[in-house]
Amino acid sequence: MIRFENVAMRYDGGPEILRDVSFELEPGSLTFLTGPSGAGKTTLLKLVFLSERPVRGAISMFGKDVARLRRGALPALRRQIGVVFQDFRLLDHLTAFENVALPLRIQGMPERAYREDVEEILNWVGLGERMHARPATLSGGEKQRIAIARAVVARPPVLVADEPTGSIDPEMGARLMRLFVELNKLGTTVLIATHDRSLVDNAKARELRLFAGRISQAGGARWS
Amino acid sequence: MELNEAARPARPTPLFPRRGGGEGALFGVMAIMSFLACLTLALALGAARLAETWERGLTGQATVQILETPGIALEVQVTAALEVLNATPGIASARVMSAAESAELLKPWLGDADLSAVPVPALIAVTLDPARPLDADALRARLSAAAPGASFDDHSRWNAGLTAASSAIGWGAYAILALIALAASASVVFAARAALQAHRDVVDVLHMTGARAAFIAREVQWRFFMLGGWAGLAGLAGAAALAGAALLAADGPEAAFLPMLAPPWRDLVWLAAVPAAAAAIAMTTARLAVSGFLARTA
Repeated sequence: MIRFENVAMRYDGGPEILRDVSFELEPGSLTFLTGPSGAGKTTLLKLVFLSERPVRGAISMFGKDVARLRRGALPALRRQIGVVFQDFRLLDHLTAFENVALPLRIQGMPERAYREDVEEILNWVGLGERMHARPATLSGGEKQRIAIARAVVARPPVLVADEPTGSIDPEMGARLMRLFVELNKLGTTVLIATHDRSLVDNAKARELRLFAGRISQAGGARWS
Repeated sequence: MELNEAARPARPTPLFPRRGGGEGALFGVMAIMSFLACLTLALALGAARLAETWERGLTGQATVQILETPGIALEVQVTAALEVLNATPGIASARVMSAAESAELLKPWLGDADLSAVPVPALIAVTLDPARPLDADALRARLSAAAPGASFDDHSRWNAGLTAASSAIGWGAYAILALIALAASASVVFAARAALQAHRDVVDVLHMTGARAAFIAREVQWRFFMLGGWAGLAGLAGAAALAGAALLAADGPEAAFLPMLAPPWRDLVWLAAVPAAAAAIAMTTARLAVSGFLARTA
């Protein structure tokens, strides 16, 4: 589904942040991307959700070579990937409902066509009561759940999350993890970047370890 | 908990926040541009109308002037000239002006001087038939044969000057309008880029969620369309207020120029086009600027 081959990445002539990174995400898999801060996890995720392009190597997504894609083809590909950002990236002037509805709104759907879906997903993440609140009035955990709801509302085949439990307490972290596992059970390919060992150990899923820009694979047991 | 029960917005919130994009300054600039555009357009339309009025007044009229010629009495020449005029196609009527009328015409130049000792030419006021063209050269030839002291003046010399002056004012005004439109477009380009730069976070999130450049451009262009339209209306209102105040204040010789300030209904349609043009310029320019910006940053 997503394949990296000898990928290298650097920003504007700086040092290489990623070197010879190769891995493949199978459809329906759950994978953790681990490593210390500064190892390049966020950069690798940016390559996955097409925010950056590699300086070397090949990335193929859904059978397409990313390097050969025209700029105009990027939006359609990005719609196949739901992203949960480390800093949530919610739009502060929109309500929780409108933030979650964003991926459907940009597809040109009118509100009446997606209202039920969005309300359902807000209930699923436990925020049905707060759907018309704005992000400034929400707690870190609530914002994180809004970000997850936004990432999955359009039912993308791939979900990418960057430190989804980084700013919340362990109990809430476990709750969010159950959401990811549930989505994975429903067939979504999930890639989670984290430095939270307990999260990885409990899930017993495949692990890509990133250290100083290089990757090693571990945690053989595929989550099932 | 009161925040939990926040109400659903009546309409979907615009994706770009209203504040922080420097749009207040653009509104001011666009309103001033529209105000100037309204005044310039009123000047162009007023000049055209004034020239048309003058021309219509002048072209309907002509004058035959008869000077004393040795050996032929003035009255004989006047009678001969009238005969020629009445027999000429294209002339509706010809009337000999009385000595008192001639004196009245000369008064602005000569004052109340006694004119009995001065040889005053005889004048025949000619009204032209607008439906039938007059062959002025043929008429001149026949007039001078019948009355050697007669000369025919159809005011074409004045007409040519007035037409040239009014068309110069018109072209000048349209050139100024074009410059105003250009300056307004440039302001919109800067404002649209600044708005996107200020809301870079929104643009990034839209990109990441798979928004096409055309979608983002559409979101921005309608904002600028509304902004341009309202600014245009503000400018039009300002121009109308100024014209109204001038009409109330004018009561001297400057009142002759009032047609420029009080346009007829037909011209008001053109002035109402200024807000529409402001909206259209703002929208299309913003779309182009945003598309260019996104092509470089996507």
